[in-house]
Amino acid sequence: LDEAIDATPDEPRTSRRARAVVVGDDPAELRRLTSFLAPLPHQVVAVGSVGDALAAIRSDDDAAVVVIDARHPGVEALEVVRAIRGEEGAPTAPVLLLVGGAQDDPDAARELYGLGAVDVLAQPTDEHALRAKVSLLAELAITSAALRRADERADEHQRALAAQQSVMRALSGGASDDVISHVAQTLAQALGWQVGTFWATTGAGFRCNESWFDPSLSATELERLHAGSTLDSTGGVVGRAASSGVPVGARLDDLDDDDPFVRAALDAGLSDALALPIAVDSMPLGVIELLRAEARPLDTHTVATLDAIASLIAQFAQARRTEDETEALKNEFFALVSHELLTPLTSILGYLEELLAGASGEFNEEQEQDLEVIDRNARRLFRLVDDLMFVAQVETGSLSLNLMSVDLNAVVVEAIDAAQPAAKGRGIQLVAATEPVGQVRGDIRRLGQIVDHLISNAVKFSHDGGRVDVVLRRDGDDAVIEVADQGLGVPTAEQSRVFERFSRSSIAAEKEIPGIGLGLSISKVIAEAHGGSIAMDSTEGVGSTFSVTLPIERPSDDGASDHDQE
Amino acid sequence: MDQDGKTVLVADDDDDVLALVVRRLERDGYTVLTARDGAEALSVAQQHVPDLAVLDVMMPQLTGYEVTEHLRKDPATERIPVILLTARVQEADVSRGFAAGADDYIKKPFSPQELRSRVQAVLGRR
Repeated sequence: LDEAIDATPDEPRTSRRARAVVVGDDPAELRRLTSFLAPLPHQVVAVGSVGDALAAIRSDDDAAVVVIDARHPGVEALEVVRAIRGEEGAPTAPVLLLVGGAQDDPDAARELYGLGAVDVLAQPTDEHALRAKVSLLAELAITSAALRRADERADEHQRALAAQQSVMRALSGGASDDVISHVAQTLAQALGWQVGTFWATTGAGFRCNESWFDPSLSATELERLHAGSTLDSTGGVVGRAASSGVPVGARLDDLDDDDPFVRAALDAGLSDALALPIAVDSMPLGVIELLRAEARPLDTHTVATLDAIASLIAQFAQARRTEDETEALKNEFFALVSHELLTPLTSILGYLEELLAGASGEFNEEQEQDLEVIDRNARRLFRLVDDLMFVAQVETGSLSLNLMSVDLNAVVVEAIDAAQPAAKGRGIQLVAATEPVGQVRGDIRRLGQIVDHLISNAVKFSHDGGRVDVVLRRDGDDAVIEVADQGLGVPTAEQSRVFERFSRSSIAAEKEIPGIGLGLSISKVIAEAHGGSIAMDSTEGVGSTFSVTLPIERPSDDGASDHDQE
Repeated sequence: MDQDGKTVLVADDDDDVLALVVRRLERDGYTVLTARDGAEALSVAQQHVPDLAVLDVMMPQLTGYEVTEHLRKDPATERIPVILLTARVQEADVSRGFAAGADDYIKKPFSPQELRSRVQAVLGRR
């Protein structure tokens, strides 16, 4: 198995040949029994002791029939059967055929049958009967060995599929960077291997990123060797898996035992090694190395599944890398955009302020009005840039609020005042109905942003000469701000998307109502960041009502209220 | 407005923003020194030891943060108050500015009136 195992042969293992092991202490009798069995299409081995019999059975992990010649006192049938049955790791359950003797003692016969002896031949001199029985039992042994192997393969494949599930779960749940390292453990545990290591590819070779050892294993030396160690790229299964790009399996026995890793693994009672290369676009990322105590070849299905797991991990790593790069690009982009957009805005707004303050002399009324138009639009542009940067902040998870006690009445009144000019211009009536609601703990600028946005939205979507109602009321422990218009409304089919970023209703597009679809999504983020919520109730052609619910500050919060930043 | 001829260093790589700040401060009676990148700002500060430095964050050569850090390391300049002008809005940037040793920061776009009162406040504090 000391090579790439993607071609583990299945066929030769379903051979129709069994091995007949004849045990006895009389060489002449052994020769005779052997010659009786010679015409059978099976291998016949004659051995003179229990130990040789065990060796003969173990040397073949396929079907075996054991024939015990118990006619002479030198070989005690019970002893042989006990030894075979009791042998741990005896790969098969040999079918036993006792020749003579045992049936004389009923107790011994009962124990023999109890241990699994299947037949007793009383007349060992009957060549035909012996051959017929051995032939039948050999068929039975071959069939049961084949079934057992199929079972093992099915089991192993089942485990591999379960491992695939576990790995997928681990990858989808893992947000941290070392999730790939943990996959080695996930895989080892799911497959029933005792050691799982992720060797990360470095310039010169590999570095042990993370290693997992089954608690039942006593492998102190191996653990010590793994901790933070490095491997050069040529040695062992890890190196070969990385350079070939395919899974490599090996019996530790067959590896270089000068290698301290191999020696320590053998000392820990491990026997199989498997190395699974993880590569992204043929760039090796690392190798998952698994070790187990059980020595058993891997079948092709299992290897195919392991290969699939490896590519799953690689895809994940790839996606992760792309995500990181995108994230970095996005951050860089927003930093650049904010600088490049805000610098000219600084000059526009700054010089305008100086002009309007009369720093360069007085203007006539018309000039002053023009400057105010420029100023209003520059501020609008700034708000847009600010909104985009707000979105960027939320995206990068760096939204921060300057919390203090906020009087929502004042916020609402101010927002209504600010919206009056635009409303009056289109004959829209702004009607306020507020009741004292106490204080809300929040960022006054951000809360003002929500109310400003909802009112200006309501005005935008109202018909000329319409009416917008702004209500501030208390509802239990919450303050509720409602902004209701009698305007265009939102079609039912589009209502679920109104709070999504860059979502604009078809009506807004049709009527060419300006906006880029950020305001409501920003309002939602702000409301939720304050522990509140936002909702819409709308009927197309009748109007929309937006309500923002914010938790009212409890009196016990007062002590800390004005103590925050800014 | 008599500012006792206090000297303010203003550094920004954008000429228009620089001129805006310079004009505002000169009208208030300050003596204004200018720099167009971080390295120049540092050398002017070391040479003239102004009463205040107003530094843009995103400048070529050295950023406003780096200039502030250098100023704080040198006993000759460590006491110069620094106001950072930043177009970046993230909390991390603000804390980075304070960590570097800045006394205040102003977000772009800023009102010249606001800048003026921040300058007065920082100078008054010292």
